[in-house]
Amino acid sequence: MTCRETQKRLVDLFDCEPPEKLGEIQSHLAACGRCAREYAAIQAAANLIQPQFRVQPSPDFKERVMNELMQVKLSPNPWRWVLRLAVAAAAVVLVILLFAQSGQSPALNLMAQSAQAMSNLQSVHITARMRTLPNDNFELIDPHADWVPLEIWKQFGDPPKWRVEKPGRVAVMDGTSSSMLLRPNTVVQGGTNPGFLDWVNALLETDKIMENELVSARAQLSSARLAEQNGHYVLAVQRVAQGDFRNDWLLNKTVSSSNHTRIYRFDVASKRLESMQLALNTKAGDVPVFEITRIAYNESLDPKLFTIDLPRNVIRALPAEQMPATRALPQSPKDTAAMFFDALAQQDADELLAVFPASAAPPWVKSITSLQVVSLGEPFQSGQYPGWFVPYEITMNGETRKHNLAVRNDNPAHRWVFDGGF
Amino acid sequence: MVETGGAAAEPVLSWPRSVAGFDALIEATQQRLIHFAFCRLRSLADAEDVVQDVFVQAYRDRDRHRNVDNVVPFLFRMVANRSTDLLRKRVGHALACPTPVGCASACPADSAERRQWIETLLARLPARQAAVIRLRFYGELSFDAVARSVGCSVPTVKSRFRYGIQKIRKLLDREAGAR
Repeated sequence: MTCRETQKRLVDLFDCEPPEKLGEIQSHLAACGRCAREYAAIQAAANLIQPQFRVQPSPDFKERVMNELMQVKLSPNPWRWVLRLAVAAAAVVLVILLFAQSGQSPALNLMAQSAQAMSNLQSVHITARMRTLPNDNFELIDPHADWVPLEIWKQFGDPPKWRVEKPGRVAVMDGTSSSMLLRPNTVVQGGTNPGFLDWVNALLETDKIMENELVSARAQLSSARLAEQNGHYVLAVQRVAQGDFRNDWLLNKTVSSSNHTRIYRFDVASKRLESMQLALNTKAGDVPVFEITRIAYNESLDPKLFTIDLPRNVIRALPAEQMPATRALPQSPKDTAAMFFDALAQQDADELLAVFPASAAPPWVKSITSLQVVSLGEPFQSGQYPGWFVPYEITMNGETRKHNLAVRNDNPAHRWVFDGGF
Repeated sequence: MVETGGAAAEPVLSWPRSVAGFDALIEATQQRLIHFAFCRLRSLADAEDVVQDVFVQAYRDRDRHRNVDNVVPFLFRMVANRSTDLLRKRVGHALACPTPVGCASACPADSAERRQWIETLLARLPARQAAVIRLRFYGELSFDAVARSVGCSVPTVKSRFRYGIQKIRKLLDREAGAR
């Protein structure tokens, strides 16, 4: 072996496990001082670069990564459907543009078929989860909150009945009236189509979801795209937050006041909804905030599902016109907030019930041992919320809180009442 | 921190398809990947952040890479790329990390300064040569795995390694001459 060949192959001596056929090189190095010096020089440089220590991962490193992976696993990207559609564009049998200019659009045909296929539905049972607060209303979404389970049962028929439940509240409609229990013991009464279900109403009309979404798209409240792929219709709906967001406090805090994407998947043969995901469109990207994990059709539903056993010490939500008026009532959003906080600070139930629309003070009032108002800001409106938000800073039980109190007077009595935000 | 005990046996692992599969992958590779990132970033927290991001990305992309027969070189490439990105950000935000953090008591001061000096030397090499040398010595990858990681042939890797080492020697000679 020549010096030139040896020097070219010296690098092989620096592999992790040097090849076995290095005997020739080593023989040459033993006999040639020049090549041996060259090898020693490379070895010296390698020793210099080779770290003399090895860092170890933090003890909880693997656990942290696994937690992150579980989060990713539980938060499937709803855009995956859209991406798959795009990738498989050639395989798409049917792409229905909703605003076809000429004649009867395929979308209308499909809507008619869907309505026909769903007309024999007896019941639906939806299991879902939502990033929200367990005790707050059904409309609230919070991309930073944990997943909260949500379950919906509907018995179709005349009259229909339904039940919607999450950990902190349950709403039922027994065919003639509805009630919602805010756990532990506050109950709200309503008619057959109450306002407290918010956007969940859209899911309760399981048999009309495709129709309703396509009608919304035609009314330009959203943009929608429907495609058939591998035995499924995939309906992607893009919705823009409705309302005035010059103050964007409410933006992306509720389903209807958010920019979001809904991806529905229907079975082509039965036209039945199979899954649905809703992702909030934020500056940082899309965040899944709602998804249906299971849908069962025509299960036999227990009639007891559509009733609630109310606790004995129930507190009833009151319509504003039935609230007592034992003192001068507030005339503005700021006055309402001031009276609300004063009542809590004084633990004055009568004063509280002048602005708190219920038959009695709720149990959490008693947990307030001290409350001082640091400041009340200028009220503002946001989104489509008919009331006002009053910025406040208080110290309560030794802790400072800053938030916005929601108050409204869009009731027949035009009376200012507390509506949330505490 | 422990003494370097020579080159580790190189595992050949397919791209896992499940969270459980990733559990095993993390167990098998976390130490080498974090060490690899640390040698360059000189911050254990940054190294762990980079490696965590890489595992999450690898999990997200598992469908795309299901035919990859050995995930390990890919992971090293992803860690190398993210480390480069982070170093660029540090420069951009004047947040250069001059002294190692996260290993204060166990890492002798001379090692810290030494590593910084070596990184300064490597930074003066063509990027491809420096990448090969880091993967070989920091990552303890074989030339074959380095080739898979950087996406070129084994002879090309060896050539980059040889020229890189020659350049280092020249730089060292120049420094010795300056003294």
